[in-house]
Amino acid sequence: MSQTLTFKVRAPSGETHTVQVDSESTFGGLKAALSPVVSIAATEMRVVCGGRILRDDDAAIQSLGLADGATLHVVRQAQNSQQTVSSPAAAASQARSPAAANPLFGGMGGAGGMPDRDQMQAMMRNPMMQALLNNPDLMASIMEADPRMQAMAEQNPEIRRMLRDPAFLRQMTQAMQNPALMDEMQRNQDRALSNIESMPGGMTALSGLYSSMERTQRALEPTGPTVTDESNRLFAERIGADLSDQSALPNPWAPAATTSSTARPAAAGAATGTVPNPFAALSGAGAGAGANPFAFPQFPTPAAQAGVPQPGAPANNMQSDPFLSALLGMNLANQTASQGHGQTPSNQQPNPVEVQAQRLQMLTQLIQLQQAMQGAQAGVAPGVASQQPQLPFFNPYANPYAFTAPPAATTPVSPTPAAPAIPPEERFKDQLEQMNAMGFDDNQKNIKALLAAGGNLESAINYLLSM
Amino acid sequence: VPRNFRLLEELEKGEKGIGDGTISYGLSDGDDLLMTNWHGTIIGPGNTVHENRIYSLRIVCGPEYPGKAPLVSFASRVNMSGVNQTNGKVEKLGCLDAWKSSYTIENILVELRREMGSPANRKLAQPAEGSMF
Repeated sequence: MSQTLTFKVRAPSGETHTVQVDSESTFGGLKAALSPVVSIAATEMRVVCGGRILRDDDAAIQSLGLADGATLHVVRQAQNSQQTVSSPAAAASQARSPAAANPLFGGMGGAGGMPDRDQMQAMMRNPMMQALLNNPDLMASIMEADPRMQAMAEQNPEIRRMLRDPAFLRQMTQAMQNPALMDEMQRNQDRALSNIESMPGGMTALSGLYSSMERTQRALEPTGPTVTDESNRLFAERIGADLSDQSALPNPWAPAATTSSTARPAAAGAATGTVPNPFAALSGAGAGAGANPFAFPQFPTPAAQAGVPQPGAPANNMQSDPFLSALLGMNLANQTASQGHGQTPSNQQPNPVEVQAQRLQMLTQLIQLQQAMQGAQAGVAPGVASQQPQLPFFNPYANPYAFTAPPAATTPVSPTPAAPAIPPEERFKDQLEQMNAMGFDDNQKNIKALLAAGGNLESAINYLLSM
Repeated sequence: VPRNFRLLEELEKGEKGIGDGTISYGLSDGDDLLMTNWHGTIIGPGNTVHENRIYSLRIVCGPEYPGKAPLVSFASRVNMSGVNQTNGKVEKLGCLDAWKSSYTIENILVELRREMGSPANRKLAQPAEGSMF
């Protein structure tokens, strides 16, 4: 006689559920019943009970000896043991592929068209990339999922056929992994292109292709100016700057910088009253400005900042940004009285010290975020990708003086009512617990990773693994 | 505590599900009154090479259990320090070497899982999943 058997189910997430099945059904039926509860496809599911892995789909439940009320543990099938069956693997990563495709191409697009050699290498090292490249079907499905690719494919069915061709995909993946091969392919392409004029109708085909691609690209770029009032306001909120503050920005080259003359070569220039060459920083002295002035604007490190309480810091900051220094012109010999932010006691700002401290804290977090973004650019991080709409284009002109260090460098960064008063250990308590369970014991590192990832557990873990 | 009482207790715990659900154990032979042979499984810890893998073990609780430690051996192939690579016997494990009668099968499995996640073991290349000793 058939009865209903009740089982407790332990999902991989740790949650317990209850499931009821008819005692006459098979193990396959049990898996089907479990599937929605633990959100694992029946083909990928492994069930363990009483120390045994249950395998036989056709076995009757009774023959498996599962007692009523027993606990079943359910685990997702390990990915690498299903390479031959690409559809379950694709199904599993379908959820990841839109997220993967967009940061993938978004990351590449963000780097400016085709990423350069080093970035490619860094991207390749990302283990997810490796898994991706080893599975050409998955690769094809991801590329097709990308809206930009889809648009291109609509315009030009050749592309779609190309994407499906396994030989082509294999070539592509090999090329991506092997830079020498990539070079070869490029050279062949260039040679073919240069010969295109000799083919009748070649030029027109090329120009047609180019214009259609350009149209697609243009359509997908953000319309309108990327720096809007709204983005300004959001950014100011993020760093805790006060937009309503209309007071004039401090004069970085004011003579009050005498005390910092030993701190930096740049500040020394200012202190002695000579005209510091803003571009001198680019060629050498700019601490950490980096050789590429057009790279993503780098902030002075918080350590450096805290150490230089004077306008030497903003001077350096500005010198590392050629646009900014050009903008501010060469008005360097300005000897007027300093209005150093927080320098003079008579300051219109309410509570300047605390505001500065708050900004410093926000800045630290921003920098870590930025580092994480750059480090995991090919990344998995949908958390980070979602940051991008908020900061569509990093605006170096948005209140650069927000980054001036507090005048008393020894002022501890105390949480203000405006700043988050909850310490990171508490904010990330859940994530930390999960990370500890997974074996990441070093909570300091965990917290740093979580801060860099904005609290997103997956990206924090990837950050830790990529360190 | 008499052996059978202890084993019955452990049997109940095993059926109810213990800990965080990453280990499981139960009697091999439901009719065995002596409850000597047990099966156990360990789900590999996350973010290690063992992630998402399930390892089966055989545990033999002799007549002197819990006074004497049980014999533990892996049925699934695993590459780990302390596990004999020819026959899967667990030869070196903290709780087995310094066995106390208060230790249980659960302790053994939990400790094995922890060993898998240790820096020495977490990145060792593993044999194909599903291969047995």
